[in-house]
Amino acid sequence: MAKTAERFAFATFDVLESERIAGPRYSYWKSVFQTFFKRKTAIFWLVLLLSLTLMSFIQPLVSGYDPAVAPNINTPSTWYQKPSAEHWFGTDDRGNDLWDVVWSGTRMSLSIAFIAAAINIGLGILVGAVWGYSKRIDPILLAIYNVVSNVPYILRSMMLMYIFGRGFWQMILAMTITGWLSIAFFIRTQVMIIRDREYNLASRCLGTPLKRMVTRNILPYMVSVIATLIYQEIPGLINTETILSYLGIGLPSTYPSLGRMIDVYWSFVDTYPHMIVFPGIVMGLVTISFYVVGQLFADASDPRTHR
Amino acid sequence: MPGYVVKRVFQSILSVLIVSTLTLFLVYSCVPRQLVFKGDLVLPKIANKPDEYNDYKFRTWEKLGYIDYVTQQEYAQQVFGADSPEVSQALLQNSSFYEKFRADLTARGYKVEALPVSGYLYATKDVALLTRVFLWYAKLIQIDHPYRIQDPDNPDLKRGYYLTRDWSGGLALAASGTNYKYQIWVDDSFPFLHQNMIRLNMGRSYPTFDGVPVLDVISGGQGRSARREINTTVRGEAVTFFTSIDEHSLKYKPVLDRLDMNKFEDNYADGNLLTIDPSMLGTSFTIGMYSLILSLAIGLTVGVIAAMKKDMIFDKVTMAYIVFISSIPTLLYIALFARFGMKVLGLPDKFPFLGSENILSYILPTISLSLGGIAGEALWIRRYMVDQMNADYVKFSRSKGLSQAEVFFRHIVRNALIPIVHSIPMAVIGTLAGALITESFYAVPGMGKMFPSAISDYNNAMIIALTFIFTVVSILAIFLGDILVTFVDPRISLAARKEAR
Repeated sequence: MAKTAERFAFATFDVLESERIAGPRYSYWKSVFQTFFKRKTAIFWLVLLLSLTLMSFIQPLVSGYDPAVAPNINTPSTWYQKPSAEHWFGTDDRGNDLWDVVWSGTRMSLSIAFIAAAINIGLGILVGAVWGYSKRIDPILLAIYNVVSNVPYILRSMMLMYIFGRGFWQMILAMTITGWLSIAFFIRTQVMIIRDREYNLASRCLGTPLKRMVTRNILPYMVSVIATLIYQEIPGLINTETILSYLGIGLPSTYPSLGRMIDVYWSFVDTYPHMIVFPGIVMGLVTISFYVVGQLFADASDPRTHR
Repeated sequence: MPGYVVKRVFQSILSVLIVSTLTLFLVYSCVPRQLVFKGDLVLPKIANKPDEYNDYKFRTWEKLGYIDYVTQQEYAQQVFGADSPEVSQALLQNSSFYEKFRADLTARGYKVEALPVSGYLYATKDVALLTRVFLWYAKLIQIDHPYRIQDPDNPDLKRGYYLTRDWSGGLALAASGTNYKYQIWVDDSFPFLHQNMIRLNMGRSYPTFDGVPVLDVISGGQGRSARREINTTVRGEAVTFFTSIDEHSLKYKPVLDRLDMNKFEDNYADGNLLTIDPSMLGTSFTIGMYSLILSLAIGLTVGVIAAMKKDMIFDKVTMAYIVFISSIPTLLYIALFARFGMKVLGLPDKFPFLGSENILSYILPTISLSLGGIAGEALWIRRYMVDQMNADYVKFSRSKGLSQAEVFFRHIVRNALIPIVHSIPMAVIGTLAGALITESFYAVPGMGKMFPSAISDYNNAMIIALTFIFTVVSILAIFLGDILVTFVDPRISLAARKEAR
């Protein structure tokens, strides 16, 4: 029996150790990024997205391209050049380097989309959160939403563009003045669903203050929803901008814009296809990379996909 | 349910009123009135004649309802009578009428100014915004009745309704004393029963389609007129003639000429022309309907197959297509598809190349319009089916021994179709508005192209009318969708249920 005594020894009772919860430590954001970066496609699209965005915000500063100035308009030899080592995307019908034109246009489209999306989503989340919680303002906002949402978004923005006149800030105003409403409505519904879930009920019973409830219980749940909103909103706003500019009711001709490029260069599609192909490719890559990165991030931010 | 419908109709009317009133207010207060002349063709020609230029500008604004405009001559005619010799006296340089004009009209709130060259006076007064909005609604609904026409030159005009047959032999209820001759008639074009008794008046188009009522612009035919042979009897005599007049649009004409007398028995001789091309409304509707059918058929099929073959190559290609279409700008994929259609399939990439009579003109716009819809439908049905595959009722029916196909089509697809049914009316009616970019790209003469061109031409009446129409149809569509879905899914009840507890 002495041998058994050698093998076993009494453990000392540790108060701290007994309080420790078994299981790996879980950090939400760490898991989000881990899940996101595990996928090679995600890294590829993210790098592409970042380089396109950086390029479009830095390159126009270097080139100083201004559509109102056409320095080569009187030198026909510089017009319609095919892509070469000197002009990577070739030149257009006025001798402008397409490489400059494309990045300026992308910058314009992205700036509009970023600003308008920030306003729409910021205002939408703020109003939506209050809307979801307050029973008093719910009928008022619902009535406004019902009236506004009856008019299709593109029609609304065209109408507002007409009323405000053409320009950069006018376009942002036209996109945001009613644009936040649908986002707020979406958030309101989400908040309403989540706030009455059992875990929130239990949390409230245990005395969790509202601030902690919002930051710890509700917002993490909403991250994937918000990510979904952002990745659909930015390509959507770029789409609206190109449509308005293409139809000639968006940005005036003194602004570079992807939509206007398609409008102006389309007449050369048969003779000088490079004038359409390069703007098209950049436009497509920018919007696709936003969409895909957003979608993958939204997937990664859903706690059910972790581990 | 009936109570709910009444409440909903009331809400819808309120919504339309709010949207159109806001639009009217914003358009007439925020858009500078000088801009309406941007597309005017007359103004540049008289730019070097200041008097005419001024007069034309003020007359146009008066026509569009911005101002009240009175010239010295008009006021003199009003004071002394139209044919009085004093009218010309009143326009002489040292006439005391100048003072009278200035005093009278200033007292009535007008602003009096002199023309730069001739020195004649004119007076203008802004129409208050509220009055304008009120007038738009006051004129909106026009009801035709036998005492509508009050013509002092034709006191013996008969008044009353009678049954008759139109030129093509269809039964019609016609009337005399009304503005329109044919009040109700039947023919072989949709919706088969037509009427002229209640008509909407949304003002006249300007500067494009100058003077034409805006509703006639979008619903009237386009292109050159279509002549056909008519055999009818006029005052007991059989006559045969060629004409392109649409007899159902015949309106009262005060003074008839010989040609009218040969064709018509009564004073109803003023009609619109029949044309070879369909109206803007009709063109958009045709393209929209076919593209809707296409997107439902292809989208649903592709989505179901992708869900059944999840993570296989077909599914991956479908998902890539959906991401592509949903992310890149509409303009880009339409342009890409147009190139493909033209280079590979040899189809025209502009509608007017072959015109409305050739079916090939419709193919590319229709498919382009359905590309987005296909992605939307496929994405929805695929996601729904994938989500439902692990639902309890699906596991249960599989354990009952149902085959994979039975589970899919009897259970999952049926449930997935409910929201699609809900969205069909919106999609049908949305075709009228949804084709903005497609129609502009392919130069299709439809409603979608009309809105942006009305905006770039500053055609205010058209913009307001189109906003009104699009709002009405989309409200109607949402309403119809809600009603329709209660028939498809008995679990859904629209009326708020009373709490049982």
